[in-house]
Amino acid sequence: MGTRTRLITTSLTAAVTVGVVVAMADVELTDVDSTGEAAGAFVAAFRDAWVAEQSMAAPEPIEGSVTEPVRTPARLKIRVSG
Amino acid sequence: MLRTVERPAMGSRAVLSADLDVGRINAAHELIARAERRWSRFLGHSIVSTLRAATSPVIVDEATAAILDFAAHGAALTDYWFDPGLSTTGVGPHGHVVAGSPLLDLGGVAKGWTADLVANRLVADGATVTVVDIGGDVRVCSERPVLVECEAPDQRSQSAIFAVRDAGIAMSGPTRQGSHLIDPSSGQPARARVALVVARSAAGAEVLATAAAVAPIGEAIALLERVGAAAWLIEPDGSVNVTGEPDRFLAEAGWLAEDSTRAWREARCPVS
Repeated sequence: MGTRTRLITTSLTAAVTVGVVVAMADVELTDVDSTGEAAGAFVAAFRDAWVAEQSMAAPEPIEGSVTEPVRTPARLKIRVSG
Repeated sequence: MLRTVERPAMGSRAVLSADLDVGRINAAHELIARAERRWSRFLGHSIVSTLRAATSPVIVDEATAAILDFAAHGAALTDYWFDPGLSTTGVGPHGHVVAGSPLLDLGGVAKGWTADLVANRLVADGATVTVVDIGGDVRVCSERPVLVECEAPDQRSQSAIFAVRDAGIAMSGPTRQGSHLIDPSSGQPARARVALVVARSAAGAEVLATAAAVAPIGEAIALLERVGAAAWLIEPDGSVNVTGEPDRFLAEAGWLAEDSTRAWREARCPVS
């Protein structure tokens, strides 16, 4: 694995949290609240590892022939920007 | 009536289509703008920029905690071939706490995650057809079949067309301009393959596509099969592997058709 960074998801110890810095001053509270509210159940559900894994599975295919499909300008492509 | 509003967003373009009034679609665009202000590493005051510069743990809001949790799950599920550069994260006495993460980059997963978030919002607003395209990461939530065009990596061959109702689709890999992917095992630009993934969420598809583009082929197939994803993996030498019967989601194969991809592979494959 070479120099790959390993991530560890775990509860931090009290000793670590002593050094907590609250760095939200540059973010408007209304901004935080509105996105949080919109996220709602979606956000809560996806924090669960099992739900996250399920979200990566293949969806249900469309059964039978595709009739009266919707066409939109959406265009899937390789992402080249960050 | 289906309406589409397109705006610049996240270093690219966001195209939102829904059977809602323009005001609600514009409100969804504002959600994307807020997500960008929060999770872009290119904006000095974003939370991601704060985490990249932090020397002490930082308390983050719930939405940010959620995307970071998802990114951490994605990294673990892909054996860290998807690596957002996230350091230790957990819950402290005052909320969700994240250690300073100088290499944190939510890039593509933020696009996919935001596409899912916006689609969820538009459906909650009453849309029966929702298509969200943020820089090429696509999420569809629709009661009717939706056709989504998939541009060939060489940007010249005939497009493939997907037919889906509720799906996220993402594609990663080299383009004619080269590869923007970093190999997590070396820290150097990856000699990547094209990975095209159909999943239940855009964020999930993005995580898998990124990982499967750079992982050794055996590991790429194993991780896709482990989560049950549908995917095409197209090597620079022209060989193709698939998982999860991805042809089920194609209305027109286009550049993904075997006879078409052969010409594309041999003559136009962007990596030789």
